[in-house]
Order: sequence, then C-alpha cells, then structure tokens
Amino acid sequence: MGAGAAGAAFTWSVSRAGLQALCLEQGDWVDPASYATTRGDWELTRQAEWHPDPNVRRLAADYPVDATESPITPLMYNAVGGSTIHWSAHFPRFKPSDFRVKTLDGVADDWPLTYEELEPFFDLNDHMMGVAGLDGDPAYPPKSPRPTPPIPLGKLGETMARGFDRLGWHWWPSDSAIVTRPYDGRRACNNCGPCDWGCPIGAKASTDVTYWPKALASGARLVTGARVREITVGPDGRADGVVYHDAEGRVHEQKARAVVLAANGIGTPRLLLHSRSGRFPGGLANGNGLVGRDLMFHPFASVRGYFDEPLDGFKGPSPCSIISQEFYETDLARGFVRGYSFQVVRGFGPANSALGGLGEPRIAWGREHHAEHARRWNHTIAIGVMGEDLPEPDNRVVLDRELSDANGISAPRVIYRLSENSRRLLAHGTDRAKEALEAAGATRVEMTPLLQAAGWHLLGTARMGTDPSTSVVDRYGRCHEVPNVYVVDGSLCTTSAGVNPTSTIQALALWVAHHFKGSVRTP
Amino acid sequence: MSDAGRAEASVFTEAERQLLRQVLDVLIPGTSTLPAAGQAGAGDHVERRAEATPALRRRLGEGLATIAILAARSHPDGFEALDHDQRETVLHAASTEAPDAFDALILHAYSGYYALPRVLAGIGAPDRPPQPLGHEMAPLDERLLARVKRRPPLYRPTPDALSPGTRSCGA
Repeated sequence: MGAGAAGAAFTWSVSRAGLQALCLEQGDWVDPASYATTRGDWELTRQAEWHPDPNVRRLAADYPVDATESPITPLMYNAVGGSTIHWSAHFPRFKPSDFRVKTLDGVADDWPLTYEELEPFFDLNDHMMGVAGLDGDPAYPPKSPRPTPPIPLGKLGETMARGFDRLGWHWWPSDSAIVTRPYDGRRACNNCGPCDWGCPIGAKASTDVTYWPKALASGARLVTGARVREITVGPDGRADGVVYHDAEGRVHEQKARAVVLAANGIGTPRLLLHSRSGRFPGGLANGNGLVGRDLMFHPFASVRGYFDEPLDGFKGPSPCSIISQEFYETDLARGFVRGYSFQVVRGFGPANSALGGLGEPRIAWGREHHAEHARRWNHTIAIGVMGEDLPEPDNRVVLDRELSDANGISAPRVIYRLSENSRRLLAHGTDRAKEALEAAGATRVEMTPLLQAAGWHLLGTARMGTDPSTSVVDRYGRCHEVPNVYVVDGSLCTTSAGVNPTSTIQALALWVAHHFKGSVRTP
Repeated sequence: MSDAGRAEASVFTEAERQLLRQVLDVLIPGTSTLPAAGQAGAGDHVERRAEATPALRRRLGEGLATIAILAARSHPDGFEALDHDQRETVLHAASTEAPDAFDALILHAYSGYYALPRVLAGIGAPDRPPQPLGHEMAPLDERLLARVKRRPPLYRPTPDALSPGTRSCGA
C-alpha cells in the first residue's frame, strides 16, 4: 500500500526479481505538465491545491488528520510518487552513529542493523533516484561517487559558505535527489527554483519518474484511487489480503501472499490499527501496543538573515544549497544529547515572500508594505535547524473516534509533545544559526523557534527492533506478530537521526525487498 | 479582464468590483516605481480565483460587504468618500470583524499583485514563471571547499565500523 518513496522502491525491487507485485495507491498520477511553475500565478497554488497539509488541500485523495494535539503539523501528499511529488529533494543519509544511539549515547535504542549493512542499498538507491552531490564530505564516511555534479551554490550559497568559513564550521553542498546532468532519460535541472511545486522537467527525483516506469516495465501492477480499508487475516493468523475502496467508493477484496505497508508514518499505523479482528482486537501486529507509538518528526526551527545586497535567491533549487553538520554528533557540554543539521534555504518567490514562508510572518499591508518587501525578497537567507527527535511512547498516532475520511475510515489523530531535549537542541541551533548568518553579513536576524508546518518527516510508529516486546517489526521489516506483513516506510525507523530521512527510508525499503525476495518462493 | 469576460463571469457586481479596486489600492499602495494593486489590475486575479471557487466568492463577498458597512458608518457615500487614513481604519476594523474573509482577501491580493509582470519588473524579479527557462548558474567552485576538505572526519566511529570485516570509518 502506497506508491511513494518507499513503496516505489520496494515494488521495483521485487517486480524486477519476477515476483507478482500489486501496489494500491489512494491517489492518482500527477501530470508533470500540470505543475504550476509554468504559469504566472504559480505561487498561489502553494496556498491552495498544492498546499503540503492535506487538511488545507483537501483533495479527493486526501484523508483528514487531526493534529490539534501536536505543535507540529503532519504534511504529506497522496499520489503516485507520494510526497516525493512535493518534496524538496534533500538527500542526506543517516550516519553510522545514528544506528547506534544506545551504544554511543545511552538513549533510545540501537537499530537492529548498521550503516554498513545498509550502505549497498544507499548506493543502489542513489543510482536509481539520481543524485547531485560531491564526494569527500568529512561529515560522512566515504560514499560512492555521486551520479551528477553538485547543485550550484549561487551568490546566496557562497555568501553563507563564507559565513561558515569565518566561524571555522563545516559546510558542504547538499546531496540532493536532483540531476544536474541528463541522467537516465531525465533532463538536467535548469535551476528554476521552486522544487517543491513539482518538477515539470523530471530533474527532481520523484518516484513517478524514477522507480515507477521501471517497476511497471518489470510487470508490477499499480492501481490508483484505491484506498485500503483493512488488512484481512486468515485462520492461520497470517494476512491473506486487503479490502479497499476504489475511487467511486466500491469495495474490493484483494488476496495476497504477503502485505507490504508503505503508507508513511501516519498512514501505516492508521491502517494497522484499523485492521482489528477477533484475533487482533487492538489492531494488527499490535499485541504489545506499540503500533502508532514513538512518533518522531524532525523538530525544525527557522532562522532568517536579512542582507543589504541582493542574493539571487530565486535561482537554483530553492530548498537545497548547503548543509552544515558542525553540531550533528553528541557533545553533552551543549546541554542536550544527539544533534542537528543546518539546511541553508534559498529565497521564496515575490508573492510567498510577502505571504510569509518558513516561519516568516506575513508582510503587513499598507504604506510600509513595499519597504518591508524590498528588505525581504531576494535579500534573505533562511537556515533551517533540523533536530534529531528521540522516540517517546506518548508521542503517537491513534484512531480518531469522530473524524473519518470519505470512505468512513477513522482518521488518524496525532498526539505529540516536544521533548525538553529537543527544545534545548533547537535553542542551541537557533543561536548558532544566528551567529552564522551574522558572520555571513546579515544585518538583521529573525527566528521561529519551532516551525509548526514542518511535519514533513513521519517516523517511528512501527519501529524496527530485535525484541518483539519493544518493537513492531524485525530487522527485515517483518511484523513480529504477523510475519507476512511488512513495513517499508518511515514507520520502521528506530530513531530519527538529524537529517531528512528519504534516502534512508528508500534504502531500507530496498533492504527489506532484498530479504523479502530471499524469503519467499516465486509461484 | 475584458468587458465580455466580466459579463460572462458575473462574479462580482460592478459596485463590488469598484470597492475591491479601492481596497486593493490601500492594501498595497503605489510608489514612485510600483503601481498600486487595484490600479495595476490585481483585482482581476482576485475575481478569477473567486470565479473558480464558489466558497471563495462567498467569503470575499462577505469581506467586501463588511468593508462597505463599516465605511458607511464613517461616511454616507461609503469607502470611496473616505481619505486614505480613514480607509485604513476601516480595513483594520474589517480585519477584526471578518478575519477569514480578510485573510482570503490578503492572500489573493498579494498573489495577484506579485504575478503582474509590471510589478515583477519593478522589484527586479524575472517577469516570467520559473519554467520553462529556469536560470543560468555557474557550477560550484570547489576551491571554496579547501578549508572544509582539510578537516578530519566529523562523524563518530561506531563499533560496527571498527570491527574486522566492515568498512573503515576513515578516521
């Protein structure tokens, strides 16, 4: 279930091996020609039908999410390609230490696998998605050669690089799932800017242009407009298929030898919890009550520096320029455990600069409007502080008792509280980001200590582990309790790391697929 | 929007359209280099969006009605008869009295204004959408990374990386 980042990678892998794979996706294909960046009113769409929050967007493919008990709003997109249609294409990997937080720092849990085990799948995924980047980053172990050269820094990136240099801090051009040279039949990025409006030329790696064409060519089947209602269980206690609604609401039953969940860190626990039966009264694979628990976002702060000089911030992939990981690894002298990344973000377009993006307040109307717009548009560098969120059982996804989607399936309710560690981490990060922006020449700095609309990364709600009493799936993504049900999305993350997770989620999906292929017999 | 287009759309009445134009001129006034929003035609954008979304049409109509009522309390001839300061006062009151409608008005006013080629040219922005032309940019100058490249590894080694048979962390 789910044709996004992870579902596409998994389906491609197993279909290439000759297994019969059927993917059910509640959204539809999105025609790249429909992306708004070819139109004059392109900026408005981000505030309406292209909004990342399904509660605002309210398309037919969306389901409501009750986030009234969370300071961070979950964001997602339902379509072939999933949230990679919308995403910014940041593509850093988790680091070796991210898989060993218990051993190294005494917090949370170690993953049941290592960076080294996952590394070949990172490489395979980089090859499939197409990545712009540069080898030699001292913040990482040596990686395979990046498939295409790094994205240009532009004046904005170079300005910020000088700031980091003045402080002696780390920076590196972001690994981005964008191709800067023609690659695998895709066009090179033309630095148009707003990647998160969808890429009409296919330079950004959304899985509708990377994995899916290859998966379908390998024989995989993809049914769109198919919203899964529940996973069904046979008399042996194993899953035997799913029940889903088509776009007209008709109910279908689909039998399967194995069921794979790739519906994201909210959709996957929602579906497991909704799959109740006499044998599994609390939801499928939820005998230990952990499905939906340990929800992790990446708490995100935004710090914005204003510069006298124009920065050409509208040129180049907007979210991606530089990453700094000076404060990534644990240093307890800072007052918190684990760490964070800095993401240097380019500017918004003129309208969204006025409307406020990434925590900026809307520019006031009236006589001072133009002066403030001139100070902001093309004169701002934003640094995002992306912190590692540690798992806490009380942060969770449950089924809402009143709210439901168009098919009457209970909506997810998100209950989340920002931990004291995360709060300290973000406070440290915002202070350091201010320092960096001032070192780069900012004359004014503003910050948003915790960005509400930052729930891009939905992690941990069907966590991976070796102990069936403290985890939902094993190291191969297989539910402890129902061994022919697999999870391949962000739900299975044991910890969150302090970087964007898609590269790691897809590598995990390929890892699970690899072992899945070895464990099943083809018909 | 052409007269024929307006007649066909019939989204706003002529009175609403005139009020909208005056309101937009207060929300985003003109400068020596930039036009005021109403005069520049941002109202056409607002009207097009309203035409496409009946709920928005209702909301904007509600907002304009609120503004008209508040203005009438200050002057019998309404918003048009008020001076700029009085118009601002009315709009501040409207933003409190009908916050959702006013919020929608601002959203579409700003979006429409900053999509006008004349405005984009005036602020130094490309007067075209991002695609299909994109932007020329120089590739990364790797010499900028000389200092960072000299740094020792920043990542923490793990027992896995250091154990025999696994990859060295390079530290």
